[in-house]
This record gives sequence, C-alpha cells and structure tokens, in this order.
Amino acid sequence: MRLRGDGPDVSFRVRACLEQRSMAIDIVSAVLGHVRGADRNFRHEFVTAFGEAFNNIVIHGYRGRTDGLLDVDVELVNEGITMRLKDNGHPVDLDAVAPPDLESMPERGMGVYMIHALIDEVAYERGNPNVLSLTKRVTPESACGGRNPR
Amino acid sequence: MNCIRTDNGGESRLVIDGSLDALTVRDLRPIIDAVVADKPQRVTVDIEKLELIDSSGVGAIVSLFKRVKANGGSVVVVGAREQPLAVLKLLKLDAVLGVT
Repeated sequence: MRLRGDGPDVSFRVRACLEQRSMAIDIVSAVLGHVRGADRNFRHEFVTAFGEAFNNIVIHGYRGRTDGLLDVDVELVNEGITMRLKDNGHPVDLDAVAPPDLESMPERGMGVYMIHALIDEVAYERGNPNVLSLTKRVTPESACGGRNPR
Repeated sequence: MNCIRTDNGGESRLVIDGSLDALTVRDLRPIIDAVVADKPQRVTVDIEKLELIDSSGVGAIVSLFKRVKANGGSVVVVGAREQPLAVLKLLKLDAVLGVT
C-alpha cells in the first residue's frame, strides 16, 4: 500500500555478485509477502523473474567487474508491485535479445524470455544508472498458463 | 544446493535440494559430467526438495538430458513442485523431461 505520494516503499542495496543472489531473493520474497492479494504463484513468478534479472546484471552488466552494486527500489500498490533495479554496468537491452527456440531445448539464453513471460510490464532505460523496471499486477491468472511473453 | 548421487546397475539417481542457480550450478556440473561419463541407461533426477531453480539450473538439467540421450540413455525428472515445476512448465520442458 502506498503511504506516500512519491518515493519507494522499500529500497535496498546489494553487491552485484552471484554470492549475494540468495540474500537478494530472500529480501524480495519478504517484500512480496506484503503485496495485497498476491498468492504463491504470484510470488514464485516474481522471484523467478527477479532472479533472472539479477543474473543478467551480474553476469552481463558487470561482466569482468567485482565492484558492482545493485540498488533496488520497490513500490507496493494495491494491485501489484513495481520494482526498479538500478546498476552502473554495461547496458543490457532486453528487447535486443532474441527469444529462444524452446523446441530445441536451449541450455542458455532463457532468462530474458522468462522475465517477459512472468512480468506484466518490463521497461529498460540505459543510463547512469541503467534502470530495469518490473511491474506485476495481481490477477487470477498464472503467467505459466501460456501468456505470450513478447 | 546439495546433490546426492546413487547408482544401481545401469541407473543413476540424482537427488537435488536447495537452490539450483547461476552460482550453485557450478557444483552440479562436475557431478553431471561424471554421470554422463559412466553412460547410464537411465538417469532419474529427483527435485522434490529443490526449492528454487533459475535458467542456469534448467540449462544444466537440459545438458544432462541431451548428453545422456546421445549415449543411448534416458533422463526423467521426478518430484517437481512449486517454483521449479512452474519454471519447467514455462520453458515447455515438463513433458519432454517426463516430469512427474
């Protein structure tokens, strides 16, 4: 629930490295518990998408660096959540990533597809920082039931 | 992530728990390599106690599937539930991996 007219409800910063992934997901999971109406599927889907976005920032955005930071702002609204992931690494344009051919059972390159499949609105602004915005609304439908991701 | 391997004749069983992700998959890959090298007829991947999986983890299981199949064997995934099951369905792998 929005208590103020502007600014995030929750903000946190983690080092952008895979060793911090589990902790970041724990924080996100705790926040998701405060999204009104969010069921288990909603939480699973958002955590999955966040994890893939985290991977992309660490592995691609901050490739070759160990000093990267990830700032996360969260806005809780009655009907869902918006999360903004901010980094200062190389820009990673999600729209430029070709969707995988799932019939061929790819072993990589599925993360961006999963983000688009599980999140209602995905927006990316390159800059200083790069900002990836993920908005998911509480609906009775599960994204795993066949939403078209792209 | 923990992975326990047991073997019975030409069958191998991998029981994976915890979180299988871009970090922990590094620990699983050597186990997968060892299983593939032994050319089992059948591999069962038990993920009943797996709590979380990401695309890296899925990639490792798909790699196992392809390599075992190339050697004439088969791979099935059992016990999937919650988030891992949803991810396998999303990636349309539940049927081909025989997820039960």
